[in-house]
Amino acid sequence: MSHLPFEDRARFPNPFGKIVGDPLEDNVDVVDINREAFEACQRLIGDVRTHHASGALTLFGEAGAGKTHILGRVRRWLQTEPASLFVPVRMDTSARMLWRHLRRNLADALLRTDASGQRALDRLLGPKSAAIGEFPERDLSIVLGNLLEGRHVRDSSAWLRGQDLPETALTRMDLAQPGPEDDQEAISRNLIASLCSMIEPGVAVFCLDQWEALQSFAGDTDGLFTTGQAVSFLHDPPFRNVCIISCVQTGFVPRLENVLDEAIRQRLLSRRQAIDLIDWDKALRLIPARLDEFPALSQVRRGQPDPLWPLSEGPIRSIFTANAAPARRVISRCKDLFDLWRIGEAQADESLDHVLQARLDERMRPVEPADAEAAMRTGLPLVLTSLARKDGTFDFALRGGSQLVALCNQTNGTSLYARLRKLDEALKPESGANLLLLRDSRLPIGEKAGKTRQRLKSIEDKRGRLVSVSQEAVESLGALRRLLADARSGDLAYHGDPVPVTKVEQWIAGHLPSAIEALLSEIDIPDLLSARLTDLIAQRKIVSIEEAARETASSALEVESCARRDPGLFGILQGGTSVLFQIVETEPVPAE
Amino acid sequence: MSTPGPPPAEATQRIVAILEPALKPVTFGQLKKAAHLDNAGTTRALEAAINQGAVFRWPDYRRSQYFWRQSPMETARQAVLTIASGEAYSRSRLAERARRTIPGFSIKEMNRIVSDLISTRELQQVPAFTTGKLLIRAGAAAAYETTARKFIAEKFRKAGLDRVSVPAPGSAGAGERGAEPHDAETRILEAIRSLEPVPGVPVSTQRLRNHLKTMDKHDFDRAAIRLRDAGKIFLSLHHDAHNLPQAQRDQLVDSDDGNFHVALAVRR
Repeated sequence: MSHLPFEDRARFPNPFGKIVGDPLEDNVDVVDINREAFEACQRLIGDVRTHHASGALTLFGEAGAGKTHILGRVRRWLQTEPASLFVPVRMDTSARMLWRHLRRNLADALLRTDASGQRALDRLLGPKSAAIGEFPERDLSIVLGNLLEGRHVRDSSAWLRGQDLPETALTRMDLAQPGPEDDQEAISRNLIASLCSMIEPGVAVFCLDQWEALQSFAGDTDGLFTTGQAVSFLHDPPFRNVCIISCVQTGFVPRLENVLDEAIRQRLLSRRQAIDLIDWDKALRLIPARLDEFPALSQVRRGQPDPLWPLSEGPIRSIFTANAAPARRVISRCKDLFDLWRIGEAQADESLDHVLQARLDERMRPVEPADAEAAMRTGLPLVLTSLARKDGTFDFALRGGSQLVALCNQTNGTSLYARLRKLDEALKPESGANLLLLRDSRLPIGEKAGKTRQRLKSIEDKRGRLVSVSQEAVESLGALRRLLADARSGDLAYHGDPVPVTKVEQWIAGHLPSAIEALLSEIDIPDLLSARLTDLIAQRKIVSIEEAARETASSALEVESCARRDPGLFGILQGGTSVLFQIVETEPVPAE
Repeated sequence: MSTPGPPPAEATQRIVAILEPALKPVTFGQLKKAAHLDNAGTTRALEAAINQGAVFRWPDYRRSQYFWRQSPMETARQAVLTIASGEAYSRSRLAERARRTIPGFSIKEMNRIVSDLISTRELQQVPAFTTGKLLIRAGAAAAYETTARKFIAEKFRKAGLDRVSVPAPGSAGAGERGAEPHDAETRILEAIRSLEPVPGVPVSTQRLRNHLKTMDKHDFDRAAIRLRDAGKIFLSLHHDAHNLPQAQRDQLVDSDDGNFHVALAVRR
């Protein structure tokens, strides 16, 4: 049997093909691996159910140790538990979108169907459908009623997810039109509170994966802090049925300990559990479990004396250090070895450039216009790392504040008008700043929207400009965000090991999708590195070339050559440590 | 008319805040007084804090209920391990000594804890100097050595030899490797155990270095690598250490193979 011809072997799919875990898809599982971590999750959920008090647990582990995989085990276990809702949340969001992001994921969890085709919503709220009309939140009651009874399903689902709806759709469903002063974050937070209370006595299990992805750039703490506050909010009364399971890389612990205040740390970190690397004994259970996933392969394996057949111990064991290795590295090695057995040769070694391009392409997904705002808000700062976030009316600032950026992707006419009015009132011509209004190209402003057009004209008169962002650019921003989120969380693997985030940032700077290059050109940023350096030098005045290279995700050589191209702006002092400084034009001193 | 108590969440926070700096378990009465709550309010707040995992109820002792921020079971385990780090003891003496330091535990309960620690290999059995076995904290060679020295000193005394010439640690006769590297490993293991919030949860190198301020970087890094190679700890890899500023990179463990490690965890 071990001498199967290659043409026979080639028919077997590689059972190690999937290297990075997905809580909604992982099905091969060895329960003895990380049993303690899983039991800690079960204890948390059991305690919340018994004591009617929300709680939190944080799972720590090295990249590739299996944190996300444990979440998959929790999902499968919850399928057998009555009245429970599994809410997986990848934290690839920003501080200003956090509650909307959680709402979106909670809605997706409620609308997701199980193997029998039943939605969690029907399971948890169906029995209460008669009482739903009595809930105090009128719009939410209407939407849930629609969903349970199969009316206006598409628009009701969109509303539940927090997507902006046109006036006509809202009118058709008898829902309130958005108000000019609505705070979408507060609305989403309240909606989460209402939904959680509606599913009582069932429990909502929020699994917050990839905390590291909350950082848009190294040193960014806003997302972490806001999420810590959100955990505290969900942890405390009146919530009584919320379980929060967080997954954090071990290397990220010092950052969390430094950023979060004591009260948040107490809630988030009082229950902790480690996800360990696996030893050889565990690998000996994991590898056969994967090999037996496909019945055809399992059948030919039957009767083989070596439990690892068609693989063998030596080449796998060589990746262990002191009898320990991350599960992902073991799976990656087995994948290569299986290919070698299957087709007689190892798959051609792809370059990192090639792998990153492939990973970016995989992450390109359709983004609806209603989600363009989130993609731009979280994606733009990754491309333009020097974008400064603004807390007021405007979203970002460029070039030391002389160029303001505002997102306005409202699909609802009332909301769009309210947004433009606010921007118009806040834009002061005497400040000398330009304003770029970024709007998804699929959201035209209708000819009949007279008042909205008037506002737009007024903004344009004050050096404002509407920039239409193509669908490709929006989707590319979303893909870049996901790529960097995975890199920050150690989930972007090359040969089974995480790719350092700085390498990914450097790669992005040199391989921007053409749609994003077109967008940058549209907003007068012809050269990304030059723009980043201009902003850096405007803020810092003087900085070492080495540091400038680090902060602009480029090499020292690139920084130097970029600076030399623009001697009117940059000066260079050569020496032991070469330094870049800002050239400032001054008025000539009058002769006495 | 009685004054209404604070909202439940605030009462719970008060209780947690009182227990946070407490160096030992606190009685119900002391808590009630310090938190300015009545009996019912204190009970409710304690129940909520216990449910949140922020407070633990301790075994009753002398008709009083005790509460603390540390779990009694974990504190008892730590007490056993601390005692077994200082000297080697027989199982019964170890349980008895630990029981004296932790109120409310019976000798039977303490014996069970000692058995658990043996089964998880946090306590190591070593040959006694007469017959049977002694227990030390896993890897705590210094504890075994101390007991050996006491044993020999006693033999010398009984033989009427007043001046004991047992080689001192670190002297030429103390073994091939010398005592210092071994001592560094023991100190690191003890530091991890004292800092880990839950057994097995990694402790950052930054916290460990702060805790072991007198140990220089080279000794710390080498001892950490030896512990990893001996299968006693896990080291957590930092995946982008080369892009850290030098000061931050110096906080990590350099394993001399181009890798840097950010945290250490006791292997269970």
